[in-house]
Amino acid sequence: MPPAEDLEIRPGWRAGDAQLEADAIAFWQRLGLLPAHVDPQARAKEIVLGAYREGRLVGVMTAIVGPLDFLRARFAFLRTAVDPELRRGHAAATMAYHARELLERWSVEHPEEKLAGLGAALESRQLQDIAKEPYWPGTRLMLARFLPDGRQVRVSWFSHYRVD
Amino acid sequence: MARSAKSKAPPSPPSSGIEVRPAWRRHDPAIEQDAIDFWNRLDVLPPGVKPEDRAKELIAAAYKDGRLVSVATATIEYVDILRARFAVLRGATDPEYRRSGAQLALAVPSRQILEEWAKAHPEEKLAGGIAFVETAEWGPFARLPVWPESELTLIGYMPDGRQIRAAWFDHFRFD
Repeated sequence: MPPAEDLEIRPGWRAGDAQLEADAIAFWQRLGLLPAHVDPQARAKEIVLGAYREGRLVGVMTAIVGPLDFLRARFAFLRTAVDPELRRGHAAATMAYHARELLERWSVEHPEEKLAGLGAALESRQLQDIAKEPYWPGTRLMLARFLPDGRQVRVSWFSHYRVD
Repeated sequence: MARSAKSKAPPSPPSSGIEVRPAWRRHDPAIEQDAIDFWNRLDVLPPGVKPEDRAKELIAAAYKDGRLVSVATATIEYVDILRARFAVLRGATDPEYRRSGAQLALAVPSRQILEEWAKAHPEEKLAGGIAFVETAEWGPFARLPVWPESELTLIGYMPDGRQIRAAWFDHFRFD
């Protein structure tokens, strides 16, 4: 899948970028994307990157870091929100590609965090077609197992990471 | 077969003097007999496993100076957590040749052989290879989450501590 070249990717992971955070909060509110119980300010602290087009924020990727017990390692779980107008523009794939690079570099620079890679549990029906493909080259997310409820768990190990 | 983007680690150089002979579903009596002699000589098969039966599961054999020194075998089994049929990979290497690279030399050809066979037999729905790895036997290599040669990737652990590693074939798609 070719990258969406009209997007400007703005890194935000652990950057404390006030402008990006404010843009993201406005973006989520404009589209009504956050559940009522989620504090936008707190979610903004989880921003990995924002995608801008013509100076306007059109996509936000956030992550939470947590353990995957069956792999005995910590992974970053990504969430993606893209302006509905752009969903056909490969924006999400472009953002995921950059998010991987960014988080891997951060993991190398912060070995004490022991971040092993990316993780994802597929829930969206929009992913049904690509879920048939067990390995995604762009993000290197590989199907590692099915959960009892049928969701796929995918992981992508960072190249530098070593198992304890 | 190679997915260079998957791992940045360079592949190991070819093992010098190791000849790999494909055997998967070829019923090659010479390789099968060499393998039977190999297993009997080293007494490495679990109790109850007949060498003649295991010989039918050969993927490939590695020879050094005309002598069989390492084998790769597989059985095809349904793997619940992956909801697909996988080649369950096994290997054995003559202890004298443990550091010769013989087993490593089998990794890429074994994957290629099985992948080509899977493509030629879509009715088998063979999705990839899976291995259950004793970490103590593999030393530092077991710390790599993705093995560059075979692309076997750590996807879990058995209750006894063995690593579960799997590699999907590029062509495979779920129905």
